[in-house]
Amino acid sequence: MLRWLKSELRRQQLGRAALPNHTALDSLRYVVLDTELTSLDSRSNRLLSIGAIAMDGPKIRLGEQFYRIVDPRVPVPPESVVIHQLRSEDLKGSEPLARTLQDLRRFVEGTVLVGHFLNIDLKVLRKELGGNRHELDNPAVDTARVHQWILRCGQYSEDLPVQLEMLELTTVAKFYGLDVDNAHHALYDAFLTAQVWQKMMYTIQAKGIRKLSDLLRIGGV
Amino acid sequence: MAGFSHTSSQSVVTGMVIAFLQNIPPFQFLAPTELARLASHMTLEFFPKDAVILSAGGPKSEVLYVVHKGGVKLALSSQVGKRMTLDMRSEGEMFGLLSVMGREPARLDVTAIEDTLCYSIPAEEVQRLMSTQPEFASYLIRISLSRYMDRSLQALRTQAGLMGDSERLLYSLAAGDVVSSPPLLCQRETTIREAAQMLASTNATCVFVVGGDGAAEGILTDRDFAAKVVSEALSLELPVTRIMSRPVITVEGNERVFHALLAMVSRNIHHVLVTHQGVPAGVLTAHDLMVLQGKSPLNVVRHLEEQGSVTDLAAAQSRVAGLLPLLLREGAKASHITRVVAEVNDRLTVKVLRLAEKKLGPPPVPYCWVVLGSEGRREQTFKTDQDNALIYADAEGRDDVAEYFTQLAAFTQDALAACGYPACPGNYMASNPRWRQPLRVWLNYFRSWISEAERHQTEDALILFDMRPVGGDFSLFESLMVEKRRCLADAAQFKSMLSFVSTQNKPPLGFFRNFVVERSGEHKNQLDLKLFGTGPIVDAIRLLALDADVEHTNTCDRLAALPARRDQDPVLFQDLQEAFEFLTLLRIECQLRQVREGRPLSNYVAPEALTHLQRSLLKEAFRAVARVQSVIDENFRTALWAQLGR
Repeated sequence: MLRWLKSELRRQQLGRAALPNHTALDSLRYVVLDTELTSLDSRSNRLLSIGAIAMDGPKIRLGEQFYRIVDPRVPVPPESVVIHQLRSEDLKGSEPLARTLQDLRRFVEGTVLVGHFLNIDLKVLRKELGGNRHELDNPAVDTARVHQWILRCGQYSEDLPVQLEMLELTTVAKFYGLDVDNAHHALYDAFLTAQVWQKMMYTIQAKGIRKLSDLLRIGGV
Repeated sequence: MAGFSHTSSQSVVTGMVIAFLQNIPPFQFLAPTELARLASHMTLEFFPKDAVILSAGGPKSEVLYVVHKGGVKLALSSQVGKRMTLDMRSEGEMFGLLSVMGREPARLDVTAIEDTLCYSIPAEEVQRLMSTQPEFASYLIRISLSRYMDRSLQALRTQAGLMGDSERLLYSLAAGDVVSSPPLLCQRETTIREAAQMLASTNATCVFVVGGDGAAEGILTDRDFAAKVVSEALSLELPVTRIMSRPVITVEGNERVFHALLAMVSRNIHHVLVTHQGVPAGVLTAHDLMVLQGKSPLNVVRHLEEQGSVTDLAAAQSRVAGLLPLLLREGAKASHITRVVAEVNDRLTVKVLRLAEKKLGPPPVPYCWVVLGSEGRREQTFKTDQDNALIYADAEGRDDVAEYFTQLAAFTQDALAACGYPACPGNYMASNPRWRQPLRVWLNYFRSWISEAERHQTEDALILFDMRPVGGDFSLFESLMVEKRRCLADAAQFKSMLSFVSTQNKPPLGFFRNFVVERSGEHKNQLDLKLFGTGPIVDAIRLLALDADVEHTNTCDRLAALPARRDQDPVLFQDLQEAFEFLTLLRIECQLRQVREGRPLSNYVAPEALTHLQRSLLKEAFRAVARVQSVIDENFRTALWAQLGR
């Protein structure tokens, strides 16, 4: 019942975003997105940076990038600075959050959002946007989920249960044969995710996932 | 969308794209800001293995592709549905260029041979760069018009010309300040005979043909006379316009000498006309430029000959070491460089022999001093080992003769060592009694090598077959060669054995595009350019030369003199010559770097450390090696099988 409600809700949202369910994956426009956060605790964490890059079907548009640093207005926990290398000093004086988010809204308009564990990013973004769950209501795809789906579709091996747990972006990227050398920078991670998604698109289309509705079934969030 | 990307500080992603483009021609000619702009118009596309990216006759390509990771093959489909692979493109190489430039359908099928990532650049951007960036445009035009090796060698030479310490004079002096003499001029109506006489009566090396307005229209050099008059048997009474070369490359007198050098290197010419407001004012030759830097090979050689003792000679010889980087910077061909080195070595040896005779007295019987191996082929790069031998006239029962040459060989070996040529570890030296023998013994050596065709003797034979006389009485050497040729006329077994030895080292190319490198040890991830590159070419061409009765020892000379075989692809020898030039040049460059960094000399190179261009050329060269090896296999193996089957 809950599932049905959810999908019904999704259908309505899609209507708003003007992206018919039967659109072919190759003709969709995607924005691949990643954020860096003060922590992974969804109740208290704040946004530090947003990186995003656009794709026309399987083509990554190198010129259509989005990268902003945000002042979280709280001290950045030292343990997270080690990861993303953004210190409070680096973030002071960034442009107002409201404007950044306004630009992001425009950047993602009419696109399918893609991200690795995208719900984490969306949760923070919506929180920063005032807790409105109708914000950023584009169709959204989690590459970690798609990856699990692909693994399950493949031949069963004894490693499978282990692989299903190894979902970190860098691990998945290496699984798809990509070099990883600059992780934990929001724009770089978005670019890396875009390349992962680019390869996944071919794989899932070969397995019969051709339309947006199919995609949302296996990887929607 | 540009408004969304932060251009004030370049993004990590754009930085990665630029870092990639920066290292590959023609993008390396673009300024960083231009590259950043270009990157913003590009996309990154992924093609799984076997995906067809462009198909012949299909829609024209809207973008120029640059391979980022992976590789593609370019193939032509025939009517019967067979596909023939014509070329491959790997990382850093482009495809779709002709389609983009000509705005016409692709001519070839392009297929990913493995999972491949490509950057794509929209046609409009390519065209914008073509019209605003001359260097970018000229590179693209060059590669789309000329054969691959040609253009790349040229680019490599330009690179070599720009490498190393900057020669301040080249940048600071104006061309007009350097020219020595006014140019020789003649009219369009001047006959070939008159022009030749003008050249002969002066020191000039070229004549310019001027038109009615006084501007130079053409140039005549030795090359034109040799190539056109002699080979086409033209009448000497014809006007010079029949044989002149065009266009004349000019620089204005107030331009830097460096521009003249660039013009010479990039066009592979030796004469540049210096004009003063369009009027011919002087000639600048490649030689002038070397003299300008005080290091003309001629000067060095002359200097050597003036020395009176071994100590002085050794000191003078040290100047030779400075020649190589200079020649390399001048954009000289590798074969030219090695010839200059050989010339210097020869003169040094002759000088040493003269000093020896002065000390020991005149020789009791005539002798001939010969050099072997790479020295015999005039293919030495840096100072290498002594490889020499001594043939003297038969003098049965005279102990004093043997004694004299023992001393002569010992003196020469020491003197050469003092000049920086270490003794040969394989002991191929005249100081070794085995290689210091009267003619009759030498005749027997060659007879037994050829007729017995013993495997353990092949190493000797290979080194000794590249024998070249340097000093003394050359007729002894000639007698030996006459006998060698007589024996070779019927020596199928010997040749098939050589064919076996000559094709032992297969080129280190893996499937398609990987270099096979050393897996461990001191040279991990490197490969030996001599063992797998120049060596196999030398061996293969030596065998073909012996078989075709070509007398030269130099590999390029042998290649030029070899008649084309009916069963062989027509451009093989030309490709081999280019491959050999390139491999030698690469060896010289690597060794120069080793010298500069104080490391021991080796022939190892790490493919990873090479530029994209060099890597492509290296692959091309190895492919040529594989082709000649299969020609050898097909032509000489039968005799070997026959012999084994007996």
